[in-house]
Amino acid sequence: MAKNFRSLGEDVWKTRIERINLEFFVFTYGSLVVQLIKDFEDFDSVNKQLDKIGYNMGVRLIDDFLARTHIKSPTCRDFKAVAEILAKVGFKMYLNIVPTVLSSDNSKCVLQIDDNPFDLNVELSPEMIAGGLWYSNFYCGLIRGALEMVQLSVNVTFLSDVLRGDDTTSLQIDLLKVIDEQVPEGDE
Amino acid sequence: MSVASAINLLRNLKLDNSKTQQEPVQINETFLELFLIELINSTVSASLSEISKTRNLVLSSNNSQDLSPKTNSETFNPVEQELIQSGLTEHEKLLIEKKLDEIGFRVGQKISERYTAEIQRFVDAIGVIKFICKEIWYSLFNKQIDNLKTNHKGIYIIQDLRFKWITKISNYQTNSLAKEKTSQYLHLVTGMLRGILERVGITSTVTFDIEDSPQCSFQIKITKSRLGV
Repeated sequence: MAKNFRSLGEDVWKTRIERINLEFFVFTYGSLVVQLIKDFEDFDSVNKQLDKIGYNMGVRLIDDFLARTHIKSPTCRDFKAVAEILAKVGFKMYLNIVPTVLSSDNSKCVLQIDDNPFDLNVELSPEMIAGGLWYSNFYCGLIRGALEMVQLSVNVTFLSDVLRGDDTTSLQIDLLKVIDEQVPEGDE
Repeated sequence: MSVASAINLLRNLKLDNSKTQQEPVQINETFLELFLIELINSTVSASLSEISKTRNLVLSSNNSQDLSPKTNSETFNPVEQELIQSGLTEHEKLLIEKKLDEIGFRVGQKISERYTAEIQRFVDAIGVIKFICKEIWYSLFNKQIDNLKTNHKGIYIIQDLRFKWITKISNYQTNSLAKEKTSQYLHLVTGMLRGILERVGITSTVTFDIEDSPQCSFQIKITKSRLGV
């Protein structure tokens, strides 16, 4: 099964999508973070805003994801499978990286992102590290938003980040609950 | 080792480098598109909250007018005050546009530094503009600029007949919101062009013109150049 996901990810990346220069995206993301820091002057708010941007993107991204991969719900039998798909198909088809899934069980998993493309040519100043800026906090919102749209309420947090001086970049996904089908609040 | 052979060695090193970097690292285009939507939304909402903050400040300072009339007039210059009174729309727009332009500017600076590292030094402005039209446009939008015009006195007009970022905005002709969105995207690009030029020593002002979406053109007016025009 695991092997299948990997080849599906490869296949989607190679044949079913349009590709564009990564560096440009990285520059734009960096520029956005700089702007947010200027606007909010408080790293905690910057983290929140990045999370929000990711969330808004995630809720739309999942449509594109399902449309292009043709993954059906029986494939995501348990949370372990969801984590595998997220890493091997999701990350692969959008960012062309495959994070390693560490210690996954049915309620949580840890993803280790080995070469985070966002880190390209990025360095954080000591104030930013001390202030608690998680440069790639965007991922948290992204995963949360995408999984929420497939009835999985999750909590995503960064455990470590290379930019902050850690050895690896990793994030933890906790499954809070499986949402029952219902009309979302405030939906028109 | 002689100087000549050292230079040769350098050249070889550089060649080897370019060989390994042949394949540019890529990312999904949909991902970028969605990201740009959110980037613009977030910037707009940040500017709006800033505006409402200033508005509250004005209100509170108006209330306490009899206490400190002097500080009140000092906080806002006349132009700003006028804009605030006129319902803020123009001011709002300007602030949002300025912010997007600034974001684009920083992106442009980085692009400039990244892409000019491997090529020869520019000798004139037209060289830089051509570089933007061919190389940079190609690596960002997978196509080259369709048309380049110049008066040879520092004004360049580059035209893209199908500008990728705005192809998915529908109803441009009839919907004013769509118009606003389109111009927000283009403000990112004008900032970007300004940033690219700034890093090679050219100060410029860039404006855009949407002829018939997705067809648009950018006018680059060089105000000061370290290079010849």
